[in-house]
Amino acid sequence: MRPRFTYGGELFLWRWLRLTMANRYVISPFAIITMLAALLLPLLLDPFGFLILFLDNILVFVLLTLGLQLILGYAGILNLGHAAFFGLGAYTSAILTKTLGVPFPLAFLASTLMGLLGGLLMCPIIRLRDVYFAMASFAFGIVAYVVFSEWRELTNGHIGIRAIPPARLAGIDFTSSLNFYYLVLPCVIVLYLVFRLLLISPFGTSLNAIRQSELAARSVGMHLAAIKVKTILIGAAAAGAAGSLITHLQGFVSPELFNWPQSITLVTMMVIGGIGSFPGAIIGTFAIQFMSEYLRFLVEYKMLIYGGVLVFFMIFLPKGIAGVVRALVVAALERRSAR
Amino acid sequence: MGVLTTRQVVKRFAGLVAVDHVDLEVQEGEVRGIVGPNGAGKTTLFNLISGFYPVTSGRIEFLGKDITTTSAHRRAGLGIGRTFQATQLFSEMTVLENVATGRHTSTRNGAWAAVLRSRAFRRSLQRDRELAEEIIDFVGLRGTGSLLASSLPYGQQRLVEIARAIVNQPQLLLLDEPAAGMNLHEIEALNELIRKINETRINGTRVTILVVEHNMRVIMNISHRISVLDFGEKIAEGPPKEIQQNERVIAAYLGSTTGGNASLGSSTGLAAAGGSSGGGRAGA
Amino acid sequence: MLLGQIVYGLVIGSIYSLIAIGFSMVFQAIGLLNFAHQEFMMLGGLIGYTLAVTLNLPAPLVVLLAGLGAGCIAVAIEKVGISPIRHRGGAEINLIIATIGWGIILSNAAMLTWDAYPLGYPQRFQGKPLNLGGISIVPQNLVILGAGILLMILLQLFFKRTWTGQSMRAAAEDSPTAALMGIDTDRTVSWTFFISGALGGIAGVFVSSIFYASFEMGLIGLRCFAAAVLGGFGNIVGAMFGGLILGIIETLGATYISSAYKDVIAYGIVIVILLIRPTGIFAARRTGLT
Ligand SMILES: Nc1ncnc2c1ncn2[C@@H]1O[C@H](COP(=O)(O)OP(=O)(O)O)[C@@H](O)[C@H]1O
Ligand SMILES: [Mg+2]
Repeated sequence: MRPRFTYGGELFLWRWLRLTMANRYVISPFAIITMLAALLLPLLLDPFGFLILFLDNILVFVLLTLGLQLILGYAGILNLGHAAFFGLGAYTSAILTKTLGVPFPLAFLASTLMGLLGGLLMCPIIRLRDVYFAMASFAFGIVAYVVFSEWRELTNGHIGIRAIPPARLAGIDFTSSLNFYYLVLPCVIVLYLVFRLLLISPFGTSLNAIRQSELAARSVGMHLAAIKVKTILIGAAAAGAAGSLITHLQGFVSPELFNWPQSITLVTMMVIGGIGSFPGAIIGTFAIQFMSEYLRFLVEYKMLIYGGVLVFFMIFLPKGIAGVVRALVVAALERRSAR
Repeated sequence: MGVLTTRQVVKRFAGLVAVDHVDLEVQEGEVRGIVGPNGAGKTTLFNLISGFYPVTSGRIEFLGKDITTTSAHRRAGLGIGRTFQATQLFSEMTVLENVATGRHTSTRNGAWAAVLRSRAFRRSLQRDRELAEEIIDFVGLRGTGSLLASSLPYGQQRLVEIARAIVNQPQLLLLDEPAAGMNLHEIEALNELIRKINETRINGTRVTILVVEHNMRVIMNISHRISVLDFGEKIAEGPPKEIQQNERVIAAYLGSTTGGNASLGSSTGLAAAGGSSGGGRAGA
Repeated sequence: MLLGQIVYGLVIGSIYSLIAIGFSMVFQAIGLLNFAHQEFMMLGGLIGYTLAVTLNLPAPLVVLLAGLGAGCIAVAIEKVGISPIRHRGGAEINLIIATIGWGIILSNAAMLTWDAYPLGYPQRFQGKPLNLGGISIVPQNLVILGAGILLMILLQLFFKRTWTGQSMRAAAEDSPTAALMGIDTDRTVSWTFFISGALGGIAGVFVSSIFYASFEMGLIGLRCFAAAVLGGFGNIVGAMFGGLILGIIETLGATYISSAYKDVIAYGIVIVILLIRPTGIFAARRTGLT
């Protein structure tokens, strides 16, 4: 029962952090602090300002990147078509609430299920290995996009669906950015906790094992295909839920949001934040979103800088921001143990 | 009772017959050595028995049940453990975590159990760790549990792999060249370990072991019987003494060495012949 | 009508082939999905525009120099931003993201250099339509088809007859062994990028002379990814035929089915091919399955 770093007389917080990193505890003290801060943050912000709307949007994306992190970072599946699940969820919610007048909670569930269904559709290609899967999933995303943009009877084509009713739950109206914040934040927190619980369970061990050696994983009786399928289904369902939320946050959907560049952006968030880390996925989502919003002053140089940042990270910081932080924390822990 | 039976098992890779109508009958508690020049099909045979490759034709039985089409993960659950010729460890995990994964098929795996973290679930995780600790001691790696598996010396990594393969108490254990990369001292300990595993009783029955090994000292020492493969075919079978004198075996080994000066009377001579991987059969 | 469609499909297809070959070559050499590749085509188109309009160079020279330029840029990118990652043992996903980063850099640098408007090539690149046995054909299309096929033949000769070409093939097949035999694998990788970029650049001139040049035209090239898969990713002859077939399917599909769904057709084929025959329709069956 020895954890990864053993030393006596350490601070309670350090021990907690260390055991979380060794996947023995569900969440670290920092995660709890972050959650509390996130709950209180709107008190500091202008409830009608841009920032809170921006945060709502980012949090929806966090649902996407957390799911993708499970698929890409933990199971090592190179999914380049994740936005397809997002789109499936979004259109489901849009059509159900607008055209059929279904209440939001039901539409939200239906979107989640549709995401799951999208995951099932992706399952046949799970047999393909690494780069081949990447190509097939990329193609999958493009096919989904064309369906969104061309099945006009259902999706209204490139124009998209407008004037979608806002989310309502238990008599509360989530039209305002502030209210919406308290709709999406619990979703993020619950998803984060569930994913952490999964990760420290034997299922998580299997994911780690498969990524490190498929042969060894098979030899101890792990069912590779089943585990990969489950991962994709879970990630896809989360993306479906995110789709529902984005629909009601924006009040409209159009296919461009779900085209292949979106899938690539999601992967980018993952890689910048740090592959194989849920906090990394969150950090990456914030980093990319803030970059694309607050580099606007660079006008036409913005995308150039953006591309440059990507290349810079891949050359010099391939483990992403979380990788750097992790290395610092491990070094600090080891220094303490050396004393 | 026969623990493992293969009947006319064939494996073909795009034109190449890697395993050619092989019949094996391995008894409970037996240590069966599998020898043969490089490329003879030994590893492929292990892959067929453990379900990593589907057979082209033939039949495989384990404990009297037909497992020919059973998938690899199920076979692990039924009690077939294995190691690999090139070590396959989970490099980012500690030794303890590596060995504990061996308990995979016996742990409560349900997603709900994991999310709800019931007491039974936590207890089963605890039990996995305790068993893993025990086995780590058993294979002689006491005190290494918290180290990263990839940080151990190579010889010890091989032991971690064996520990992972036996922690779930398999009835049949497949060891693919376990002594490769070990020093003399470690090989001595390995000999002892294999014997100890073989003598362990699980539900009253002894562990059956198949060993592929080029080191003839090891194989002659531990095997009750030896099967010899050449070009995918089983060309001889019998107790070590007989195999040492078998002419077809000697010819097979001679044919595979470029030097050809191996003194076949002594067991080390065969080792030299089989171990000189440079002039393997596959290249000829 | 149908025959005209097929000829036009072949013309488009031969352009796709040139791009798909480059895609495939890089994949074969270093196992990389190069998401910046279509931008070499874009660069070729824009460089060609400058050469043709500003410098008023003759068409063959424009094609040649645009190819050279795009090829050199491809090598520069490989040296600065691809190989360093490989040498540090970077993961597949890191390499892919790096190429995406380069793609973004290239198309935006191009926008800053050439502006965002579509740039049409001069009239002399088109010529008057000919009437061949009832089919009306623009001579430029025939030239493109001929030049495309000529380039592919030259490429095959290069691989078979020259030392560089042979060492590139050897290194792509089995890099460690090739290195042991004294082949400088870093150099073969650079050569691969050069040729891949140059073919892309030439294709860019062709595309631009039919339509126009623009910093956004890389999007057309992305479809060649489908052509590369069709021909068996990493299989150069396959990529060639893959491009031609895709060109025909697309042209006919757009006429007889619906142009809106042409991506569904192309990428639907990608998925099916990967599933049933991951090495493409021309290769002996190897496997991309686990
Ligand atoms: N996955 C495979 N695909 C194609 N050929 C294989 C594969 N695995 C093994 N072989 C071939 O089968 C033959 C037997 O290999 P193997 O079982 O590894 O021999 P050994 O373990 O006795 O040295 C060799 O010729 C080898 O090249
Ligand atoms: Mg072997």
